[in-house]
Amino acid sequence: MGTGAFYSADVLEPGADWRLLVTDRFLGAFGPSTSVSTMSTLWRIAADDALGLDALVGAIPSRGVAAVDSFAIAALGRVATFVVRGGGCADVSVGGRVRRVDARGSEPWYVAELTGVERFQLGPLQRSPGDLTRQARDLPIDGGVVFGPWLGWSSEAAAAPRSAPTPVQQPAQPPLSSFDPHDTNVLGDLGRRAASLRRHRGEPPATAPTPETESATAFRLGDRAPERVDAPVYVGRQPRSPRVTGGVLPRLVRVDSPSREVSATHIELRPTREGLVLTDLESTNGTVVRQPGTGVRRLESGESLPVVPGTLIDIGDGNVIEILAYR
Amino acid sequence: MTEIGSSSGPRRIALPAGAGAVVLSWGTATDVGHRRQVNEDSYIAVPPIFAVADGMGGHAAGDLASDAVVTRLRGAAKDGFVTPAAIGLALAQASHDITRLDGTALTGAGTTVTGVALTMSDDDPYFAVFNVGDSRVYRWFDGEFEQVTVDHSVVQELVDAGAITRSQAETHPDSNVITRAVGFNEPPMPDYWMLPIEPGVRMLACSDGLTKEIGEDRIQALVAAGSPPEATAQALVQEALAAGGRDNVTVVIVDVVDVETAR
Repeated sequence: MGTGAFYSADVLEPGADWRLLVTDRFLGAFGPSTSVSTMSTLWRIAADDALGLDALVGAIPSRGVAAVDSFAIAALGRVATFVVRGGGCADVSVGGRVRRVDARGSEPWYVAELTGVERFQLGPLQRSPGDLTRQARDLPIDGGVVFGPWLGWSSEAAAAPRSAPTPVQQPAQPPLSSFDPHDTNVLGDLGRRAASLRRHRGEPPATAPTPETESATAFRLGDRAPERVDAPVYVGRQPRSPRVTGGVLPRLVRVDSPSREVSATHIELRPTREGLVLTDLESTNGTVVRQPGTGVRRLESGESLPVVPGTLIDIGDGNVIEILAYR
Repeated sequence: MTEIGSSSGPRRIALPAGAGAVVLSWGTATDVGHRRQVNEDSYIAVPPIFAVADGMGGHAAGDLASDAVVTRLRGAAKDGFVTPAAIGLALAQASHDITRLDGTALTGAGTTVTGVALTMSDDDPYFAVFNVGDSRVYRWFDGEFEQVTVDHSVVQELVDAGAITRSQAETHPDSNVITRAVGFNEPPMPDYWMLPIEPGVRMLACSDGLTKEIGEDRIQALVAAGSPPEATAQALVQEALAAGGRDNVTVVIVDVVDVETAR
């Protein structure tokens, strides 16, 4: 599965000197005056899973010599948030209708939150969005920073399974020079992108995962739909979160527990780069875990355990959580 | 000082999906105190946001700083509910506004802000509590009174490090030095907590003009006395004034009257 992002590498299109940034969570288009060092800072923040949209936007200089007078940023999620400034805008398709989100002089920027977003394009105001669909000549991008006249995204492209790699073309323009060329990938797969992120973070390369050791990235509660875990999840009868700093908010999942076997906040599922870690939050009645191949065990109060796909977690009153490898 | 919204009896706030509603009532009170010339506190009490800001800076700049925060928070509210991301962006916008204030180039200006916002997670309503600085949010529920927020202050860091006790912190000479703020040319770094909304929950947001003047046992006694939100807010402010009133004091109280959910 890709990020769903794509862009035009046509150097003759007006606005081809905009800087386009793509990570799992954020897409951004920044005007030509944005310096390489600003882009470097923004990339570092955008690639840090512990930092949220407010940290990213807060780091964009809005005054002084380094001021970024025009940009458009999208934060992906159930509610997509668009932040635009100056000559940057977002053309967004919701329910088949395209609307333009622009700043119209709002200082320092304008914010729009939209649900049910199907497609969008980020870029300069002087641009007609068309129908926002991906054309054959547009290039997909899974992560990094490139030059281009606009940056697109579509939910179809994000959901589409990745088949055999498309032939790699050289980018029409060289990547920004201060970046690791591997970070500025054009058609790389997720593994390559993850590897480039690890290099960026100064970590050793990971061994390629085999299907048997696929890491846990999602859960399913009873017969509800599976959900990917990209922020800490708290499950309980009446859950609450501990203190959170950095702007990435936890998900709270409430379950029914007529006999009150489930504690108010019973367990935490925390995403790590290696997979999910389950913690019993000193629940009253404990947590029973069945790991594939190792039988059933009971977590001690407050105990943590890395969990693999196929694990079943019983927190009481018939509430069972299954751990999955989300693709 | 900027006051956005005012006290209200029970008001029904429909959930975004149309399935159910939250019924809240709330009350506010503020006073300049006995020593200060200007009230540099501001507050907002309009669903979905209830917050208190305590401005700092010379020549009324603190007043403008706390005004910027509550004004931007009002702009973040949409459809009766707000996402925590929108709160963070509103604070970042306010920070930008504050750096543009006239006459603050030398000393700088800034403000604390803390409060409670209605938010949704997994189709259920929650309070998102947010904090920057040393104003505080407390929660009263089912006989328990707890301080939700953790001060961004030098003395809190000393307490966390075990260097001083909580009671020593109350009288420490550095008790007014904060470590985070909105403004002062720094991007704000809010802390968040997500708390359940249950009938009977009472949330209190206040500036340090309350907590530095009267002890937590007195605050708890007044919060638990069962008076309506506005009367309780006024009683707390009056008690802070009677105890010295050395600083501006502002109190916002929100009661969860009822929660109607589909499930």
